[in-house]
Amino acid sequence: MAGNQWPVTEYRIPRSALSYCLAAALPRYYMPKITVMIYTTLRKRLGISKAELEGRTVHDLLLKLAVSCKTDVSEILFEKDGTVRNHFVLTLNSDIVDNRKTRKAKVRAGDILHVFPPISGG
Amino acid sequence: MSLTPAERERYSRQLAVPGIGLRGQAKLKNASVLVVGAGGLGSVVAAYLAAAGVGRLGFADPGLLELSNLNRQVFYRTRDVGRAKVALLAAFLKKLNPASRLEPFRLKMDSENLVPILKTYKLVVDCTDNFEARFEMNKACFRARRILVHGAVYGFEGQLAVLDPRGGPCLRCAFPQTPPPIKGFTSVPGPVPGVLGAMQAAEVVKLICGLPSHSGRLTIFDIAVGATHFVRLKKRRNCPVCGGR
Repeated sequence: MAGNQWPVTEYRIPRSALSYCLAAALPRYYMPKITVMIYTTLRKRLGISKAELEGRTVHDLLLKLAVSCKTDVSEILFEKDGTVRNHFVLTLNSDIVDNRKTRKAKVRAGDILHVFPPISGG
Repeated sequence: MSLTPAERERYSRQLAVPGIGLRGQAKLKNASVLVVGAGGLGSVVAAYLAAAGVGRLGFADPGLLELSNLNRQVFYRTRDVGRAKVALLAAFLKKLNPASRLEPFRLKMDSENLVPILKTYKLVVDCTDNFEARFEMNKACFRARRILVHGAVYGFEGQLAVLDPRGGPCLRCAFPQTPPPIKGFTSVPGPVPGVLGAMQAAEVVKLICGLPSHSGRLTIFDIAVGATHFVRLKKRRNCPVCGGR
């Protein structure tokens, strides 16, 4: 991200041809690919507005998101006990996901996860 | 209620809109709306509502106009820096639509004065600039059973929601916890509060005219990438503001 720009860049997981072959051959080990949309403070810190990540639950995706860029945002995103901070709203395909149940919230290929806090500017 | 020939001429473009018409215009004339905050969002909301013919319009803000406001608060002028915003806005709105009854409040809305004031209005528009005021207003609106049109901006992003105390979720249902305060000031490019303020005013007009509104949804306007995202809000059972009611 260029120094003073509002970040609209995307992050994609690096994937090799081999990984595609493995996913096709061994579907048990296939990880669905999910689009994660990031807003406000998190967007500013990570420097991206959108990420394509692999995971089986919402929690997997958030753990990967926290370390996907140069800045580690685990401290902003998670409480000390590992749950997602309560001021972040998580929505999976427009429906709110309970922050305490992210480990149980399963995702499917093509799902879109949004992560945003409230904003107050007027 | 019938309209005068001058009113028919003034509102001719919106009278032609399906769903507004003469009946909707009469409802607008009878409506009372309170806009809390007269900054980037509030000044836009108040201007559009006065122009639309809202009969009684209250607006509250304790602040004075600052030079740093003028990138987004386009109804004020450079020479007015240092003057009370509500007085400036009242002067502007009076020239825009003399038929609208204006009620400026130069005070900070808090838990004590909020409920008695907003009880005298049918609709409340939240255009404040801090979480404390926003959550206070959410509480007061749900206590006084007034629909709250919530709008907020941050950078190239905005959030909009219509919160209906008659069975709908409140702002606390959407955001159970207030985030840590942002250091310094919120960055806001001028047109963003313009977009959100206009959206809030549109929601108010729809609510008054009885058109389908945004109720129960939170919309995120991601102007940076040109996208919109809808969130279905649900009542939280343990919500301290509206839970169980």
